[in-house]
Amino acid sequence: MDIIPGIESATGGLQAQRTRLDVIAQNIANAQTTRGTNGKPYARQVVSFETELIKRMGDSVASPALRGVKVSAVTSDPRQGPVVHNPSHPDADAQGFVHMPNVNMAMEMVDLISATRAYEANLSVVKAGREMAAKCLEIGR
Amino acid sequence: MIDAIYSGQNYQLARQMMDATVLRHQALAANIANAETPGYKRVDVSPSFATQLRSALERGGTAESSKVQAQLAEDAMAKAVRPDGNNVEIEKELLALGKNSTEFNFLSQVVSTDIRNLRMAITGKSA
Amino acid sequence: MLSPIGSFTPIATQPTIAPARLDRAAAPATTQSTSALSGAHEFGNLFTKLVDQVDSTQQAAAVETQKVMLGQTGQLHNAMISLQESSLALGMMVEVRNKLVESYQELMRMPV
Repeated sequence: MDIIPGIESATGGLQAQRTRLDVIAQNIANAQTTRGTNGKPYARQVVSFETELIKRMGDSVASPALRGVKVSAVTSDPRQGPVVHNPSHPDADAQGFVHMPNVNMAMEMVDLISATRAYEANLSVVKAGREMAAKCLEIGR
Repeated sequence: MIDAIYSGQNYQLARQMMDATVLRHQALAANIANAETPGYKRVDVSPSFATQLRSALERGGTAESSKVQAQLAEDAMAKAVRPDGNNVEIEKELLALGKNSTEFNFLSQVVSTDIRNLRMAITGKSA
Repeated sequence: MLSPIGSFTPIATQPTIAPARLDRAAAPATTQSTSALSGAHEFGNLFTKLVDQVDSTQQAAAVETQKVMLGQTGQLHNAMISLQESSLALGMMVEVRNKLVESYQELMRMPV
């Protein structure tokens, strides 16, 4: 536990949302990448979260224990992307079809907004905790 | 002799409620951090804390009520909002966060005012 | 009854305990020189008890503060409240001492 209450959970949340934002930005940037490092079209990356126990130091025991969040894995979306007919494209196959990445712009934008909102929510937790600690220091003055 | 100064009921109650308020803030922080984690169930200070406190106060005054401790518990009344079982509604958590902050301010004012009044009485100075 | 600020009565009921105790603490001092030795012992015990109590609040405050400093607890408000309480207790003891010294000096000034 820290002087500013709630800061461990909020830190985990901020880091997790930041990672998610980075992954979304990467997806959006690579929405048109038809040839990745492995020769195949770019595969959309998905972040998955999981809870982690927060170490409690000497406070009154509580159950269930408080849990923060962390990124458990960044995996590839296995679904296939759209196939476009474009014979003049350098990556077109024998039939003139190009496999595009499975990145759906609309979904990525919605995800982006949701991740930003979650990030801001964690920020307001930190702000509220900081104000509480500041109020504490003014007790009796 | 000194103990009599700090045995005011509201003063003791405010100190205890401060502990509970800090605990609730930590619970809300954990809920907000886990707003997108699959299967996470929101936690909060157990609702029996208020009733326990009240009944302890009626039973034995502040000596009894100071033994009641706030505990965290999974909120049984929250319903799942996402298909993966996560039942955290971020708007509700943020509103509760604001309300909690205000409550903490109020409690610290209660304690502060008591201490300031005592100091005024002891030293005779009103500043 | 000793009232520190004229006729002003503080809203909280607790503060009136402090002036009342100052009154009681000062009263035995005047009887000390005239009554038997047992009176002096009683008052000495009273004051020793006061000192002990103040000391214990100071120690409790020190323990709480150390816990916060070493990161063993996140309950900052407990440490702050104990600090204020102990400083207030010390303040009261200082005022008691001042009143005692004053009344002793008053006694000494009385023409015998």
